[in-house]
Amino acid sequence: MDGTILPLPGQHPDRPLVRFTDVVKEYAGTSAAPVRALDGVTFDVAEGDFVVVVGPSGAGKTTLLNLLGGMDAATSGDIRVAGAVVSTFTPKQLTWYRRHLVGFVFQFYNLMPNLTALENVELATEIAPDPLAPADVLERVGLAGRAGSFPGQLSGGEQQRVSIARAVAKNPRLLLCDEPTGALDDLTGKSILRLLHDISSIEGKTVVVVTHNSALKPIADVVLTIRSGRLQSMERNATPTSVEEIDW
Amino acid sequence: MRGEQLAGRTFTKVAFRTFSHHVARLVVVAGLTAITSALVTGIGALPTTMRDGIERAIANGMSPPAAALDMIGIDTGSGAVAAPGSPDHVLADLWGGLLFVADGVERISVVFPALFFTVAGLVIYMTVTRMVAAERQQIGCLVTLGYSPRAVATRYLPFTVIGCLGGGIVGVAAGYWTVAPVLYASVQDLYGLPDAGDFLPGLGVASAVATVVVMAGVTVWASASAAKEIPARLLGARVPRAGARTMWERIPALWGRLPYRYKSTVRNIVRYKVRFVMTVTSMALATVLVFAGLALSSVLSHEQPALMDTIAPISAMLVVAAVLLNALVVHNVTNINIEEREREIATLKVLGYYPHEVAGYVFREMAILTTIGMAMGLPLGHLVTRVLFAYLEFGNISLLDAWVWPAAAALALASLGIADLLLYRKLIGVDMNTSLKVVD
Repeated sequence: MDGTILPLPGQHPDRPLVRFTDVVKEYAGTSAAPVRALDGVTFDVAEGDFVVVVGPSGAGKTTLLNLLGGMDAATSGDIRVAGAVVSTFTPKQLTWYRRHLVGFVFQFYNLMPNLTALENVELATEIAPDPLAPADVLERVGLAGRAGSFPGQLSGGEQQRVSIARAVAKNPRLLLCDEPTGALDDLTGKSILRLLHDISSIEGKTVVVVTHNSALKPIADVVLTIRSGRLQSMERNATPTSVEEIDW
Repeated sequence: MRGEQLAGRTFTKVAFRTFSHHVARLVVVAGLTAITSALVTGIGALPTTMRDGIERAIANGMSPPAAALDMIGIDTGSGAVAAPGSPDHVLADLWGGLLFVADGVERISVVFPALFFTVAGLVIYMTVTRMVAAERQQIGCLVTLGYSPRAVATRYLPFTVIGCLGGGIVGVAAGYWTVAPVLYASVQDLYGLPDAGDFLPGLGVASAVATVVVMAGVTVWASASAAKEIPARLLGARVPRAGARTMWERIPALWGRLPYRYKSTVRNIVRYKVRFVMTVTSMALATVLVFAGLALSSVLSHEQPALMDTIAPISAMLVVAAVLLNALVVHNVTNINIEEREREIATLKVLGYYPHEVAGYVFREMAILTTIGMAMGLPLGHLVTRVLFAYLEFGNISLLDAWVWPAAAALALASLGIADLLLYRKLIGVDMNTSLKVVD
């Protein structure tokens, strides 16, 4: 695979891939006062980092993921990804952003039930500007033999591998994962984490994993802890633990 | 036995809430019954009222205007129309030609509403079964609590009965007081008939009653069969049908060249056979109606301009109604597709598909289905028109204008356009967060 990641035009190589500055997200509540899901969040993510965003349910993790993934617009603050000022984007530009820069791995895989594993990957590569070969990526996630199977014929772990292959094959700058092991048993979950970690450490992709599970913290390069809509801490692990050693 | 109780206070409350949860569906059921009943009442009453008018004209010694006799091809010689007060048999001879018009209207008044009734019935059927499907979890809950399938079935019966009965009453009333007088007025002017006597709403009442009975049966059947399912399966997620390969995939030369999105479309079409049959049938029936309506106008304008004036408004009315009804069917099926595939749609959006690409994912399928239905409906429409002409004892199919074919095709496809237009916003408005939610 071609692992080189070039800075986008206008991006200085020294700058971080992701920069959140004082980002606020409010939702219209049932009463007059809006609900503040993110309350002034500021952080950076460097290219190639394996980031774990951790926090309890309702802390604002999903909101952060939505903003980072271009699925929703911030109320205020500044979001930059690969030099693009995402926080100023129109819905159409956000679609462009998701199409070109982001790969998304869902908790419940979200594969098209009537497309085979390979076709599900093609679904993403058909619209990506610089995709990887779908069959190669499927092989890398260990599913070369299941390329012709439909999601209903695959186990949960296998479906999540297809989902990861689909996100990776787009060759995105940023791989976002929403509770990627949340619906899997421990052993399968670990193998999925191993795969995601390798994508970051071996291929140099920036991977952001959102989870409520603190046990994932030791394997991260960077841990962002979110609580009540605020960034409680941002720690860098000098020596991340290997996936096999963690326990949950 | 507690489980056999049919109407406890809470149970009644739950039944009442069904109405508020499904207001839109109730409106569709009532509205369709109303429209169908109004049309059937109005058109069904016309021939009897015409004959009655002619009889009273003869009794009153009225003579048909020369222009009317001219139109239906009775030679009035030098314009010598019977003088007022002529013997009854002279007048009866003159009016006889107009009785022929009433006979033609009578035959049409049975054939067209029957086709119309079928399409409307199809939509109501879909709406009711969808309502029951949407209530699966509630049904499962009631069953696990110990309510019998019979008790559950009665819970949904009022929904259908009130919808159809309410719509039927409003429709028959509208047909009696609006459609029938308007139709009669157009005929009255033309043929110099006396003011209308009473309208007989018999056909309309019969169709309304038939709607209530048939749909009540459908509701009981659908909800009772849902209640008979294993409660655990009702409470759990309704497993979407697994994807499967289709026979087309055995032709690699064809299949290999299809972009993935057409593969998905082809598999979806094969995957949901009931929807396939329903959409194609509705579209074909609508095309038949539209074709027959246009053909009638086309041929009559050459052959019997006199009848044309009476029948054109009726056939135009039915062409428009057929297009709208069919749009409702297409709308319904498309809406089901959107609701069932919300997760897939949300995922496509997250992947970075533009709105028009997402729209293609759902709309392409309906476009193919409706085109198949339309393609089947055109020759079928030609056949039905021929049979219709033989039955009506007038009309020569060889006089059919060529424009009827493309016009019928375009009008039938207009249904698709209307449905797509109405649903585009809903489709592209699907919340991307749906893709993150727990599978339910």
